[in-house]
Amino acid sequence: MVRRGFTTVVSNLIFFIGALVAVSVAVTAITMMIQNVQTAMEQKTAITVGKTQTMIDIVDGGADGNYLWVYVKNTGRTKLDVNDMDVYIDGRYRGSCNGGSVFCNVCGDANCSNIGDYVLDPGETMEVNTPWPAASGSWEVKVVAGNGAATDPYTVVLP
Amino acid sequence: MNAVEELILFSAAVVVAALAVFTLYPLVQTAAGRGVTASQQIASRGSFCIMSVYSGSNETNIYIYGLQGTLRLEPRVYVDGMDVNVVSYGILRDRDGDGYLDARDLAYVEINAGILDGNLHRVTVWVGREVSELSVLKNGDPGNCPT
Repeated sequence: MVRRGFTTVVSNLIFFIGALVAVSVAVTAITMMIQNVQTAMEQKTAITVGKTQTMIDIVDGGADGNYLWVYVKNTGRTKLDVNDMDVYIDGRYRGSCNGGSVFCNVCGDANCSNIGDYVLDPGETMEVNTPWPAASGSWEVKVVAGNGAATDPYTVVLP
Repeated sequence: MNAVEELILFSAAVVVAALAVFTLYPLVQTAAGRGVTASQQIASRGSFCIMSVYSGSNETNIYIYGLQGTLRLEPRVYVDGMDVNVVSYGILRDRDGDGYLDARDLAYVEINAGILDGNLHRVTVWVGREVSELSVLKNGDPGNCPT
C-alpha cells in the first residue's frame, strides 16, 4: 500500500504548533494594546485630577508707567512650577514666567520683599512683573498654570 | 507509527512551538508597541481649546492650548464661517520639544489683522480633524479652555 501525504498524527501536530503560535501572538498583541490604553487613560486622569486641585487667583496688581505687575496666589492644593506659567495681557501672550520679558518670583515673606524659590506652594503668593511703558490705560491680565488652570482676568488700571 | 514515535514527534513539536513563540514574542511586542499611537489615540484622542484671541493693528493671534493627545500643527481658521488666510503658526511652549501640539503645549496661529472690529465674531480653528470654536467680541475675552 502506498502512503501519501501526512499521517493524522503529523497533521495534528502541525495544527497544534500553528494554534499555539497564533494564540501566543494574539495574547501578546492584545496585552500590549490594553496596557497602552490603560497608560493613556491613567495619564488623562492624572491631568484631570491635577487640574481640579489647582486654583490660582490674582489678588492685587498695578502699573506705574514703566512696569505692570500682579500678585498671584496659589489657592489650590497642588504645588506649581513658576517657570511653567504663562501670562496674557488683553488676551495677547506676553510670555512665560522667566522666559524673557516676564519675571516671576515667589514671595519669600508677607510683603514680598524677599524672593523665594520657583515653586508656588499652596497658600503662597508670587509677583509677576513685566516692562510696560504706558502713560495710562487699563489692561486685563490673566495667568495660566502649566496644567491649564487659569486666573480670572484681573484689570490693572493706570489713571 | 507506534506510540513511542508519536511521543517523540509530539515532544519535538512542543519544542518547535516553544522556539517559535519565544522568537516571535519580542517581534510582536515591538509591533504592538508601535501600535501605541493607534491605541493611545483611541484612548486619548487629540484635542485642543482656544486659550485667547488677540487682534491688533498688525496681526491677529489665536492662542491654542493642547488638552490631550498629540496633534500635528497644521491649522485652518474660519471667521464667521469664512476661510481666512493663516499667515503663520508655531508652538510657543513645546514642553517635550517634539514639534507637535501635545497636552499642555501652547501654540499660536496668526491670521490677518483687524478681525475684532467691535462686533461679535465666531472664530473656528481646525487642527487635523479636531476643531475648536469661540465667539469673541474684544481682546481679553475668555477662551473656551476648561478652567
